[in-house]
Amino acid sequence: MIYLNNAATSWPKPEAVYQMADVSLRQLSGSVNRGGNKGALDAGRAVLETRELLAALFGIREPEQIVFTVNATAALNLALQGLLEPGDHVIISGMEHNAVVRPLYALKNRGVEFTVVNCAADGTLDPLAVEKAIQSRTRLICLTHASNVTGTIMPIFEVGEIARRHHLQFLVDTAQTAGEIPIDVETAGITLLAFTGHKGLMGPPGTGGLYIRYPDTIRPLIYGGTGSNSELFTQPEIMPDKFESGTINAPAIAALGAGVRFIQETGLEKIRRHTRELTGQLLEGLRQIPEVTVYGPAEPERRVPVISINIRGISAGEAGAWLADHYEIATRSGLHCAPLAHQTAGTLATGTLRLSPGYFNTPAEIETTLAAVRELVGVLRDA
Amino acid sequence: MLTFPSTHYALKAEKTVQGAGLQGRLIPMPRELSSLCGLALELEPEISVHALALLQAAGVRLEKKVKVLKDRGRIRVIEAIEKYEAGDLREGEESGS
Repeated sequence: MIYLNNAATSWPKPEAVYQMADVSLRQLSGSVNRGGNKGALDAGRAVLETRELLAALFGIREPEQIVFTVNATAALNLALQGLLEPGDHVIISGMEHNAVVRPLYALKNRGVEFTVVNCAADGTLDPLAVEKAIQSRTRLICLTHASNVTGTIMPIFEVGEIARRHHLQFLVDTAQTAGEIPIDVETAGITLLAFTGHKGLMGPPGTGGLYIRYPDTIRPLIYGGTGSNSELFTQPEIMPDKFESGTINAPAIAALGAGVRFIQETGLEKIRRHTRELTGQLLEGLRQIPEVTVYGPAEPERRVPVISINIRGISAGEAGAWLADHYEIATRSGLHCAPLAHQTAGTLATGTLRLSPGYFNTPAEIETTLAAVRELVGVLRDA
Repeated sequence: MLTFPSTHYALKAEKTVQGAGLQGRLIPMPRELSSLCGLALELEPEISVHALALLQAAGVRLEKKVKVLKDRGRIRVIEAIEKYEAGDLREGEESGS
């Protein structure tokens, strides 16, 4: 199989991630914050380790400001529902995922308003347009770091600077960029950062989290036992306990730590160089096929390894099925949970076929994929 | 013995102290000592000043420091030395917008 669906979940994982998941599930015989036996302490130590690794990766000075969630969607919901109050106004881009748009749409019933700043068809966002959308009641700017449809990298530093100047909170969705592009929360002025563990960070699904710069401004969505301050009926304010009620998925978080360590040891630059080369090779080859429409920026530097296409004469879904049947190439077709981004790209009616390479793909696999697309186009020409 | 407002800080304290080559271990804490996170870091009295300085530098929040006596496995508090308020060991944080 040629796996080109890393934007959905990365595969394979580094060997160390599989090993850590196995060892953790077998040996971390305890629940974090629940008991002082060796297993519970080891589970706690593993979670602490992952928290510290993530803090180092994102330039976060206080690791306890990272709280674990089950995925990026849960983290985005915590940020949006925990922060926003009736009367608040939010600015988002025209490339946002439903993980942002649906919670905001639901919050409209509670008196929260939002403005969508339009992007160019290739996903490019003009930071000045964001600044122009700021109102007196604006509380938050929420921006994806890179589109999961077109791969477009968004100008988080410029927008972060605008947020800082206007004293707004700045929420960044790094689902497609954590483990792919360097991120520094201080430099980018990020006050809330949502990440997922199972994509670029190479961990298992069911892991993710939110960095919260100002914990006092966010209400928890889930209340319950934290293993601390247990005589009180009120939720503790201390981080990370405030947002981590209930038993945490320590084995998976330990495995996520192994993924982050792999990234650290390999080097983010090396990972990025490799995936950028694969992206460039794929873009170049696809552009030479007249029947293929490629969405998103032309330059591989301006995107993450996410390429959406359509092939004239065949639907995205059928093309994906043909590639899977004939060459065992795993892709994803359809709307990619981001109707807003498809609207921007002009593909809301058709969807796209998305090819997303990862660090473990090879140039030979990309060449095979290009040959397969050329063959499919040939079949369609002859039909 | 040091107690902490959350398990995160207890574990971080253990890592910090051990990372500097000092002896220190986490033990389950008697309920009467504190209910905050259920763990305490046990230190020999002679290294406690050094350990506290390390913890301060690492940004670990403490609840309190107590001197205890172990009597046939039972812990008896003989002196509550210091109680820390949130922020005692750290700079005050800026408030959010």
